[in-house]
Amino acid sequence: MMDTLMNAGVHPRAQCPAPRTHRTRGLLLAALGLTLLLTGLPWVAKAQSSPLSGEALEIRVRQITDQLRCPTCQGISVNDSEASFSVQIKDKVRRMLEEGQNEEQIKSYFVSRYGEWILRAPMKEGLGLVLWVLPFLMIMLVGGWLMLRVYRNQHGSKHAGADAAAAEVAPSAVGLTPEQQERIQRDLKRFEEQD
Amino acid sequence: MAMLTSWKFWAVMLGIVALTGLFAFGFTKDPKLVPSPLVNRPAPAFSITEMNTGQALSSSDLKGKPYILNFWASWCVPCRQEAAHLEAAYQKYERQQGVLRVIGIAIQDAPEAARDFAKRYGKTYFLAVDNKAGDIALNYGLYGVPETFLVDAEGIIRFKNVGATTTEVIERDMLPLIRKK
Amino acid sequence: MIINLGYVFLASALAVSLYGVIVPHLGVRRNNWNLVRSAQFASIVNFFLVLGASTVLLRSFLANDFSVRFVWENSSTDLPIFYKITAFWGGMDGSLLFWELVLAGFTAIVAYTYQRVNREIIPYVLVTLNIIHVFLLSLLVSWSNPLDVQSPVPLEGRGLNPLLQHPGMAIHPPLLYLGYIGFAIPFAFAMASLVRGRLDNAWVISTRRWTLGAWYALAMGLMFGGQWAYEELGWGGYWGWDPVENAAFMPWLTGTAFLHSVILQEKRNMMKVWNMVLIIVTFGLSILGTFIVRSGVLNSVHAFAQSEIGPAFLIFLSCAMLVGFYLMFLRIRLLESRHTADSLLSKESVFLLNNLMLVGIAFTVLLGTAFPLVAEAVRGTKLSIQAPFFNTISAPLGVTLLFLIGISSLVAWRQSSWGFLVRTFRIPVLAGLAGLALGLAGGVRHLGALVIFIGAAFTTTVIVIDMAKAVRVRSSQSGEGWLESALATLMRNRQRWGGALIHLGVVCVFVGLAGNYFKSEFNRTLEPGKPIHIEDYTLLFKGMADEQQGNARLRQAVVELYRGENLVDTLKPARSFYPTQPEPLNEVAIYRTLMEDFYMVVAGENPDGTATVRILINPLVMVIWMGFPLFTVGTFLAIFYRPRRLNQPLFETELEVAR
Repeated sequence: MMDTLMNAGVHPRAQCPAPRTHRTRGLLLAALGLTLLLTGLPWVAKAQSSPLSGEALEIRVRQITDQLRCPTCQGISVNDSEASFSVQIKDKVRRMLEEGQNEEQIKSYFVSRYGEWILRAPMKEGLGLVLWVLPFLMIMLVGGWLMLRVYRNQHGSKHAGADAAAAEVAPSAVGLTPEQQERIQRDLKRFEEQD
Repeated sequence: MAMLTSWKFWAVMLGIVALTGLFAFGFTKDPKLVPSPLVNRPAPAFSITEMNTGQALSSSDLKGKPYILNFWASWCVPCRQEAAHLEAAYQKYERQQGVLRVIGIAIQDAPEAARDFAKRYGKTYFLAVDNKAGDIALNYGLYGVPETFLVDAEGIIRFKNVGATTTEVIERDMLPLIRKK
Repeated sequence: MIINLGYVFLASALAVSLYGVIVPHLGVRRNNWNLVRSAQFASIVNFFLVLGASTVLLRSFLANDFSVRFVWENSSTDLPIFYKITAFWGGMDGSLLFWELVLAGFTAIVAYTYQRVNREIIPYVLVTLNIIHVFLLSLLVSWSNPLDVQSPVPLEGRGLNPLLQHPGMAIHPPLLYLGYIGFAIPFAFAMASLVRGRLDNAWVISTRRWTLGAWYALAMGLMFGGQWAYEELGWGGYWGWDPVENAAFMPWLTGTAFLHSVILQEKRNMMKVWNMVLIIVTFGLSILGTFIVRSGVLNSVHAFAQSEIGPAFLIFLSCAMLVGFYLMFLRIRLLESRHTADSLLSKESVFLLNNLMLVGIAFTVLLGTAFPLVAEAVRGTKLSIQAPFFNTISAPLGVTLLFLIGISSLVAWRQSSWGFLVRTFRIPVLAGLAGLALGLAGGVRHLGALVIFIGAAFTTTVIVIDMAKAVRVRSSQSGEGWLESALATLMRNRQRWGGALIHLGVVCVFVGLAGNYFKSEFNRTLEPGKPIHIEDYTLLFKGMADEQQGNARLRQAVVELYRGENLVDTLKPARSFYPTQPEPLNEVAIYRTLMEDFYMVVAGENPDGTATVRILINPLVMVIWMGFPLFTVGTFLAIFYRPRRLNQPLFETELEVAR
């Protein structure tokens, strides 16, 4: 019912109460901020663990080799691959960890031998930074632009816009009598209050 | 037409052309070839023993004369083709002229299989086998065989060839680099 | 001789397609509808010609005719018949012919069913489709001829890559092609509308079923591909962000965005320019996908060898995009509407956000796939961009989408009141918290997985409550029983409930994906007779066994799997040795339950009789496959919807009846 009414060009609320739109806007900004946060999470550095052995060592080997590409495979990590080079790299990483080297040192060793190509995702500097930041930036920019447009439409030339919109959508929209308007408001109220 | 003055129109058109150009550029490149960060850097150190004589050799011993360091394996098919070329280079440039050395290291190989291969394909220069852990192979950033490095007299890697190293590659790409010095 | 006949068919098809490019245009120019009809008829002729050529190729496979080079390259006498048939599209030339066959079939259907409707634009629909035919057939008769003959005739073929000898070969590529090519139809309608300047919603409404069908085919193709990779490749995952996987994923993403934003166009007359952009881009991405597979520009598990037709595809793709956007800008005045969503809190806004997320992911995927080329052009170095990048960026966008599905059902068109929303939000939010509790109780601690559980519970509850409300209303009105009401409600508003079912399928896929955040991995050396404990499983290695399967020799590790006291399965992961392959392939062994998959691969066999295995416990993978039936039933419902006017023939549009 609400749809039909709306398509007939009737706004359920004659005025838009200011506090509610601020809340709406605030919430949508919070939503965008949450997306920001979730995307930002991987940037938080991993905590270093204490001297390793046994299963803890294996887990660390997996974590590091998950970030190196198998040099002879398509698209999979050293960890996931059983190819000869991958097995050798896994052993080398294990030995380096046992010697006490950390993840940064191990990764930079392999980069010094193979080039940045050996990493499954580019480092977050220089050209690589562009790659990491760009999708995020584009979405924020376009999202912000869209929000602005809708917001302006909502509050800007509201009445003029409403008429034009109504005319586009339902050319046969007829003006409503005050009694009809009142009836609509009552029905809407009843509809909204039911669960 | 108003369209021709619209910046959006030109942005889209240029964007499409740019993407096309990017992919066309891709045609000129081989996606399997990875440039090595080791070129123009000191060659990583190694210590090897000749697989037939047991003679020891380390990279520091090799300083003073350029050398061709070839990585191969008995299970590698293009290595069969390049064996003859490398042997010829060994005969000409090491034994006759003494201007450089030719060294071969087999990776991921059993010593028996490596010896058989060398005998069958006539490789008589200094040959060694990498250890099971593949220390030398990883140290040189190998991702396949055959791969060949040219190291100059100061121990700096000047050139890397991926794939079979033929006489043409040696003469066209490698020799000029050491002659210049 | 019959090969020559096949080639003649192809050449004739090329001529007929050329006819189909020129004549409809002439027909419009000279106001001669008979000319257009002849072109419609020509499309049907074209299909039969291409079908004839395809039959010749198929016959060559089945008859082991190795004089045909393509057959020799992809088949052998000992290949099972099933795989001889699938080898048709297993190699480059044949797959191109398959593309052309499907497109010819679709064109014939379009020519036939839209005979009377859409008179203004149908001629240019045919022109557009026939231009694509001319391109493909030109390649097929020259550089990419699947019926190319060689002599002397070899006695035996080279055989099919063992990785392709899998039932998935019959499903995965054909479905993907159906999807790619399916999007060409709405694209052709869009182009025709632009050419004629007829820019109402006719093209969108006429092609709704095609769009939905193509979307479904791509979705199924992607999911089957994932399942195949999971069972066959042995690295433990089902999606590798491989360039060709990405190439199929991108048009699916923009296609999904398109499916949603055309609803905005139909209901609110908004987004007309954006829909044009989306369909042009979707079609372009379909062609790009085909290009990436054939050109050798990007390394991929799928890529056919580098070939000469790569540049041809690139040029065709560029021209299609340039022409498409040129036409769009030409008509932009007729498309533009100043009008956008009325309120930030409206269904329109949610749809806009949905499009933003989907196109955002597509943009990320394109960026990641093409970026190595950029890096090489700019810096001369090679970069790898693999799963870590794609997963990190797509995850928050995907999760936002999951929540948006639920939110969109709650929000009304044009404007929603905040109070109303808060009231209707209450139960789903509680359900979300229940989902969180469930995850925590199950031992899950990873934030990403927990957020997905919250979103899944929230959205599922919204959808179920929605459905329940509708069923209750109907039941109270008609007095029918619960089940009857439910079915009647579904049938009454198929589009809406079809969509709801598809959304439930999407929720399933997300829940399954969440499993990736808390999977575990073990490497163990198995000694015969010694039990090994992994989580709540016990493994008992019985020893190695040999088995022959077709032309493969399998070296199996026989492992009994116990859960607690019970023997639940005997797993036989193996390495299979093929005569034509130097390296063995991995045969994976999987024990599946709803909660997790026990996934085992042989890493190596040791001389002392022990075997080294890699074990993955992959949670919730079964839940992903549960999406299959939901997508299927949902799409079925949505496609075979009855338009508002009853008793209408299935393929006519509302506009035609109005006329």
